[in-house]
Amino acid sequence: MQKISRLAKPVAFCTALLVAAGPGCASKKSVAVVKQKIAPASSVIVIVDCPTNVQNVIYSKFMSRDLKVKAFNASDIYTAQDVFDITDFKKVAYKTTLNDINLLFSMQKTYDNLYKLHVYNYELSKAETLGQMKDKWGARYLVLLEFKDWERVSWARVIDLATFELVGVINYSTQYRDTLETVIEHFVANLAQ
Amino acid sequence: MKARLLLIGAAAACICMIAGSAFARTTIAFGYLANRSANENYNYLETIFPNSFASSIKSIFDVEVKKPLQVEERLRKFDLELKKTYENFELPELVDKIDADIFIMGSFQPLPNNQISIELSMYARESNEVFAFTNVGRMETEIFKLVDRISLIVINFLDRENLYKSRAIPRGARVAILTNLEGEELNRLYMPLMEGGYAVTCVQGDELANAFKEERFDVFRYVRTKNSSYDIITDWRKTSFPLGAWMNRDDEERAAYFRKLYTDFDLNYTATKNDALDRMTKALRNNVDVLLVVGFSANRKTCWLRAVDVKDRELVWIQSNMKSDAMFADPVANLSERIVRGMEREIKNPFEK
Repeated sequence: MQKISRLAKPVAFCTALLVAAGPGCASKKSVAVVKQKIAPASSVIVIVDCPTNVQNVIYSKFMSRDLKVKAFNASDIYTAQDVFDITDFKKVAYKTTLNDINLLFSMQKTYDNLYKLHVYNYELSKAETLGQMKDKWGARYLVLLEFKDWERVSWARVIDLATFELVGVINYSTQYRDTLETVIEHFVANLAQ
Repeated sequence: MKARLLLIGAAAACICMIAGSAFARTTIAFGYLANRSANENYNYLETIFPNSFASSIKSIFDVEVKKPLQVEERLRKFDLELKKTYENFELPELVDKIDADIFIMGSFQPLPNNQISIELSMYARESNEVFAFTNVGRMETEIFKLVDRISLIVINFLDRENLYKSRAIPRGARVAILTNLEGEELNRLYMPLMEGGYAVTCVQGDELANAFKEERFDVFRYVRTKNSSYDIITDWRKTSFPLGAWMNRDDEERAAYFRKLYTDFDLNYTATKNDALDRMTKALRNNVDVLLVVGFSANRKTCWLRAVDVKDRELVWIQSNMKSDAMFADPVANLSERIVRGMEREIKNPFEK
């Protein structure tokens, strides 16, 4: 009986530690769903937000797999976050010369609907760009990559531009011994045939 | 001693008051279901429908119900009468007067081939939100079957997760997802859907960072389609636009500007949105069947979802307060799995054979 009570504290501590660590670990797990691998000789556009010299390392890994990497914004990638801040829209929306609180209250739904339409139109613009990638650039796949440091999750996504369908998603928990090249190799090996 | 007795008495009174309020049952009041057809022979259903819904709901929930005649009686105290229809902005005032927690009203219209269209609107006191849906189905010979069908929709919506589902989303459907997640979290939302046999169209999946992940994304919780809506109430009566000979050109332009804003983005928002959705679908080369909007809480342990059929622009699915399983370590993946399980599920009427 005494033995149980002596063990109770460490066991409870370990359980608490596991419960606390559980969600963090699970969300950092390496997982992948690849419905369709990129066939050799396919044209791909790779989008990644990192310095040009690092981009070259990434593109070379794809090229070594006999994939045709299109020079699409190869040295000039911005995220939407950098070029457009949606919070600006909120400020513009609320700027009114009629200083009437009831008007603002009544207009709330109008502003909200404007915001929603803005999101739809933003998605529309991106879809049109994807269409151009296929038609004008002759690309078959769009690959998006984001690399993270040790203990964080790097990820990749592949879109088949023929159907606009996501055909591959990979989360990779970056390991202590990983280098940029090993992480890219992991992605390329899983995404390409 | 006397003071002590007084103290005990006061405490007891407090407990009674708290208990009274804690156990006060929800009151659901019903208005009429207006007959939208020209055939007056159906007028008797205007009262029979709400009375039947009230009885059906009371038999399942521990609630107080007020049928139209009781509501009428209550309104007479204010020299008012229960109208057949109300504008949404009239509901907050009405519900305060009839002292109810939820008010349900609607209309019906018999259709050819023995079909009937029933439209119901529900307003919860102080929510400033109205949920309205239209159900088209068989005009049953036995009216209780029809009542059960509609009551089931109401009961599900009044439940904790505000569930409304008009049809299943079959495996193989092409689903475009708008959400407030990005990066590896977004991948974890996609994976169960892809594994579950759904084609995920790349909306939002085609960018490195999500431009719409802030709190404001929550406005997508409100949705309006041709026949159904879950929306907030705006009362334009409270806004004055003074007009007169004194108006100069600037004033006129400003008034015209607000009129256009209101017309395009509030009054005719459904048409404006459908137009935007049409263009988006066309740009995606019609590779989308369902638009799924999923909003996650900051800690990712709860989410809400709205699904709209992109083809016929109908509201397919509403669910709120979806909670992840506490034992499941990754809430995003867990909620995504719940969504996949819910996609194919149809809400069957348990009373129907």
